[in-house]
Amino acid sequence: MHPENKNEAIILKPIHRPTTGDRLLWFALGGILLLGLSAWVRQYVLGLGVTGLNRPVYWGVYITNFVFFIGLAHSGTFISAILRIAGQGWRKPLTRAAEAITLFSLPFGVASILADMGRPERVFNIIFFGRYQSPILWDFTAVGLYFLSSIVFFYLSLLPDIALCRDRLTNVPRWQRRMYEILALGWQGHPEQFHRLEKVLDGMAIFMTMLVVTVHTVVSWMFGMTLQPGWHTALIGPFFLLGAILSGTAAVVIALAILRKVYKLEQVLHIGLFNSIRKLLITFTLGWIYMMIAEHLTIGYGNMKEEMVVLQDKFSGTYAAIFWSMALLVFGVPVLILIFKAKNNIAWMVTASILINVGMWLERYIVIIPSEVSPRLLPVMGQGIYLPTATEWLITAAWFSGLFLLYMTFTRFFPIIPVWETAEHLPEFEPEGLREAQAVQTGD
Amino acid sequence: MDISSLAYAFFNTPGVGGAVILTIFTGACLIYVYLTRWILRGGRKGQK
Repeated sequence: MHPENKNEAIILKPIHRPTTGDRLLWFALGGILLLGLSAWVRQYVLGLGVTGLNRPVYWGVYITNFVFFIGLAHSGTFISAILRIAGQGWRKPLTRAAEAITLFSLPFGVASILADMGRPERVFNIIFFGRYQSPILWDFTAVGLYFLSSIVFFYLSLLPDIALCRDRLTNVPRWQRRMYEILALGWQGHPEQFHRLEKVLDGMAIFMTMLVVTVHTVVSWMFGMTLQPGWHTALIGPFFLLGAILSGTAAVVIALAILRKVYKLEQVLHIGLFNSIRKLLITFTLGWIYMMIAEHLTIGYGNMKEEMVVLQDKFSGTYAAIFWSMALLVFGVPVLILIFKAKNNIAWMVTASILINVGMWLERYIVIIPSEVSPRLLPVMGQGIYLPTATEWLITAAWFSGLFLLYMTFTRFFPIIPVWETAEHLPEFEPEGLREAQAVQTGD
Repeated sequence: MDISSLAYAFFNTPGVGGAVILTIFTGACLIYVYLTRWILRGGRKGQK
């Protein structure tokens, strides 16, 4: 038994045999991924000396990528869990596209950490010698649990649609049908199954919301718990969290616009959805600038020597160009576009979202590097210098290609719009007690 | 052993953190498997 959805055929249409275009794109993205992996192997053999990392700049582009990917990963939970709790029904067509960003960004966030470690096998030291005194362990716990829970949340909400693919898609290769059979776990579409699924997803949404707040706060505490200038502030948690939700939501806009165009989903992903996200983006950009001003005003007003070195470096020194570009890209230009141009215009929405994400990557960079280049113990550690090398850029390109590759591959095998969640009619569930009570009333 | 030494030992002894992480992940996996099975059992006769 499957839910009735008038758009079922449109949603299932992208799932077909891969075209030449698909194969070419897979080949290109896979090629970049392999190139990055070979750069990683070279780094493993020769050591971190092939990167721009040095003393005192221990965290560079890799950790920038880590924070950025974890930020992107907030999109799914925000759209799916937080808006679910808030009872926002318009989110339904967007949920899976957003959750897929979460699911496919997280592995590359983790891979960024492994790349930064130089010797990735030492990650097992966390299990053998881990101590909760270290914020790295807090991070490992929160990100690991978030990843696990995201997989389950994503899979459970996908379950009825996998069963739909199993029963409806008869012209796909045999292995693909077998895959649907295995992954559907014998789902029958019984009304009570839907009822239970909704209950579990509602409960998990609350848990996921708590996790999403915890994860990015803990990520920020890796910085905030040190005494480095620019990092040691209580505001860093909410600031990171808001930035993550902003970049995640902007990433959802980009993904939806591409899906809408490539898979001709205009009827399902209508303009009204984009207008709703536009309002959210305006709110988040305003929230972000508030945090930005609060953060820098507090530091500037305090006028502490070590903090001012970093602040001046950002405002008018070595990193001024990146800092002001970031402010324009995340706030200045997008907020004008979103308010004056983006209403009922997807192209402008996408432009603003791309600018926001480029700006957010720069923001992560500008938070990390200037504080490391001018550490608190400047006379002892000495003035640092950091220039990312080709190895770091190659690995960065590889991780982004990997994300696109996974996302694209997923959309070719599974419906990217939830059929059962957007259905007009779900199989109706009648609890047994209710049936009995009705039978007594009617005298049956 | 008083409570402060216990707290100190928890946060500072190497390996305790790893054990806690494994416990959390195993517990989460068990709960998620149970929830999935519970959803799938819905509507099958003779099972709650």
